[in-house]
Parts: sequence; structure tokens; C-alpha cells
Amino acid sequence: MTLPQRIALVALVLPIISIASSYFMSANAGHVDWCLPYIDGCTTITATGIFYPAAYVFRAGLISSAVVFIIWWYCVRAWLESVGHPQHHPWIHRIVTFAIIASMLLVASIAVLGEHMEPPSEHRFLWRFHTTTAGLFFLITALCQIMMTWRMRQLQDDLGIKFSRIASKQILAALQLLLLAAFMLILIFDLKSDGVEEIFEWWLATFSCLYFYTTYHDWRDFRLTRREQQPLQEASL
Amino acid sequence: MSFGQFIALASFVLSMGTIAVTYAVGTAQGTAELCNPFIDGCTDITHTGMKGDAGFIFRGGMIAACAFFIVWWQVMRTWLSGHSNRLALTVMQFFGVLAALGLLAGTAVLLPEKSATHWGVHVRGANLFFQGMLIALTVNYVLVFRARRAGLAVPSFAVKSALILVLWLMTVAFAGVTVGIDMSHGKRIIEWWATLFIGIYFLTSYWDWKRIRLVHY
Repeated sequence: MTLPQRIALVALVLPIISIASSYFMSANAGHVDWCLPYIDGCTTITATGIFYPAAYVFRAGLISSAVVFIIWWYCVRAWLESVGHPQHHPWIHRIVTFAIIASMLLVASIAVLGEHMEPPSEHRFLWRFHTTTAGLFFLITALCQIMMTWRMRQLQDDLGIKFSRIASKQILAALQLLLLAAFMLILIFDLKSDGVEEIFEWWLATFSCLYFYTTYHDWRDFRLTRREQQPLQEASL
Repeated sequence: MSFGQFIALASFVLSMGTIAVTYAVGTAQGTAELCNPFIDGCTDITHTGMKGDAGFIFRGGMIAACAFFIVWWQVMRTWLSGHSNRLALTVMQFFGVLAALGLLAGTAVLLPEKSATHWGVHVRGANLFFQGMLIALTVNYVLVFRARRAGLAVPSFAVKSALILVLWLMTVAFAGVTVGIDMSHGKRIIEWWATLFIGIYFLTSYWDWKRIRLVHY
């Protein structure tokens, strides 16, 4: 398994395990309800990481995940500039810059979480800060993944990427776009009901993580190397 | 900037930058004592990053830095592979990653209230970081030394040698860094310097890893 492949795998597994563990611990301690949050929307992702000891797992896991996302975007830029006819793609630089900023916002968003935010009515600024930064992370990451897929599709021939390698990305990008569009409509027409926001949040987070994983197969021949070595003798990971 | 250089720079800037910003914010908000901690030892690193906004910055920054440290050891392994045997590289990486995980766990359990903090986890995690890192860096230095003799270009060798020498002198002369809940002034001074030297060691690889790149074949 190459290093970029490990990054793609960890970008899927680490956030999911962190959120699932903190949800299990929080629900076990009675801080959040037991349910299937993808369908019932009984709790937000944030709520699973407020109370200790679940908050420790949530904090450690999701901040580390944000670093993995940053490295994943770095890998994407290096990969897209080395496949097909290697050339400079200013668009990918812009997307990666925005996406890295979004991951930094996730770090800031998680760093403020904890029991000290209880009760919410007395810590409005911290809650507003968390909601804004987390919301921007979800929005920007989803948009960057959608933009990346769209541009990859446009430049498919130049990049020399097979259709099968973009297919899963297209499906996940389309699902994210649908979720964002539906959420906007709900907000505009004031159709909000209990649990809707939570359901959107859980699905959007899952689609984003699955998107990170889609590059696992793309990166089979994409590796970290010392350039002075010959390819056959590469010390590669 | 190559991938290797990015990781080396990020590991240094994020860890040292976090500590510097935390201390600046802590002293500005009155949650940390103002002094030159490298000389006076008026506070230890942990206590600068517990209360107020400094606590948020410290927890976010240091956990992120630890994640970069783990990748740093992976890059180091790639750089040395071909010049070192697999077992030695595995031992080096194991202690390096263990040290980073120790600090990650030790930082994640920090809370604004001293009485509520899980000191057992924090103290064990921080000590695991300093002691594990000393073992990992020593193994790393020996492997770099051998690789250099075998022809690997190591522009930062002199700086790495000086850093390892100082870290070991500190260990022998002052019994190294032993983190506790309430540390003596001397121990705090040692902690600040040891952290700085470890951070600089991470940075030195910036000059070694110009050609450590992600390449598509």
C-alpha cells in the first residue's frame, strides 16, 4: 500500500471510527439518545463530542482527521499534476487552498468543544464559533470535492484518467450537491422540522469521507519516493 | 516545496508556533505568567495551554502537530530505506509514532480546570513523548550517520549531531525531561529547551528532503 493510499484509507476510517466511538460513549452515558442518526436525526455529530470522556476521543480523532484531510488535498494536487501530460493546473491549486483552509476551520471548530460549553445559553459565542467554522468546513469541503470532480471530468483526456476512476467521485459529488441544494431549499422555504438538519449533517459528513476514499484505487501507482533513485529500486511506501 | 519538505516545515511551524501563540495569548489574558520560560522556568508548557483561549489554541495546534509528527516518521522511513535495514527502521518508526501518540493523548485530555484534568493520562502521555522521542531520534541519528557514510546526502548532519548531543547531555546531566503536575523551575526550563530542540530536529529534515516527492508511475 503506498503512502497516498494509506492517507485515503485513514481519511475514511479515522473520522468514522472517532465519531462512532464518541457517539457510542455519549449514548452509553445517557448524554445523547440511542437511534440511527442517519434516519432519525436524533442528535448532531457535535453533540457526541461534548461530554467527557467521549469528547477526548472526538477531539483527538477529528483534529487528527483534519490533518489527514490536509495531506489528502496535498496528495490530490501532486497527483493531478503528475498524471497524463504533467502540467501546472491553477484550478487545482485554488481548490486545494480552499479545502486546506476548510480543514483548518475544522481544527478550530473541534478545539473549542467540551463540557465547558454547557449550558449553551451561557456560552453563545463559543457555540456560534463552533457552528460557523464546522458549517464552513462541510460546505467548502463539499464544494471543493464537487468542483474537483467537475474539472476532472472536463479534463479527463488531458489527465489520462479512465471514466471508471471518476464514476464513484461523480456519484458522491452529485449526492453532496443534492443534499446542499435540498438543504438550501428547506432553509429558503422555512420547511425545517426536527432532525432534518442533523440528518443532512450525518449524510454530508459520510459522503465527504467516502469521497476521500475514492482515490484509494487511483493512487496504486502514486507513491512517495526519493527522486535520485531509479524507479525499480525505489524505496517506496 | 516537496512533500517531505512540507511535512518537515509543518511539523516544526505547527508545534513551535502553537506553543508560542499559546504562551502569547496566555500571558495577554493573564492565564500564564509573563517571563522568559527558557531562562526563568516560571511556567511549564502544559500550564500555558489549559485555560481560556490559549487552551483552545494549544489543544487544536498540538494535536494537529502530533498527527504531522506521525507522517514525519513515515517520510523519514522512506528517506532512509535502501540505506538501513527494515528492523532498525521499524524500531525507529515505532518509538517515534508511539511518542507522538503519547503527546496526542496527553494533550486531548487537558481541560481548563486543573482539578478536572486527567493528570494520569497527561503525565504518562507527555513522558512517553519525551522518552519515546529520545529513543526514536537516537536510532534515527545512528541510521542517518550510517546512511551518510554509505553516500546519502545529509545537508543537515552537523545540526542534527549538535541537537542529539545536547539532548543527551540534558538527559545525562539533568535526568532528562520528566513531566509532572507541579514541576520544579529546573525541570520546566529543561522541558522548554528539549521541546525546542526536538522541534528543530524535525525542521532540519527540510534541507534533507528536497527530493522526497510524491510521484506517479
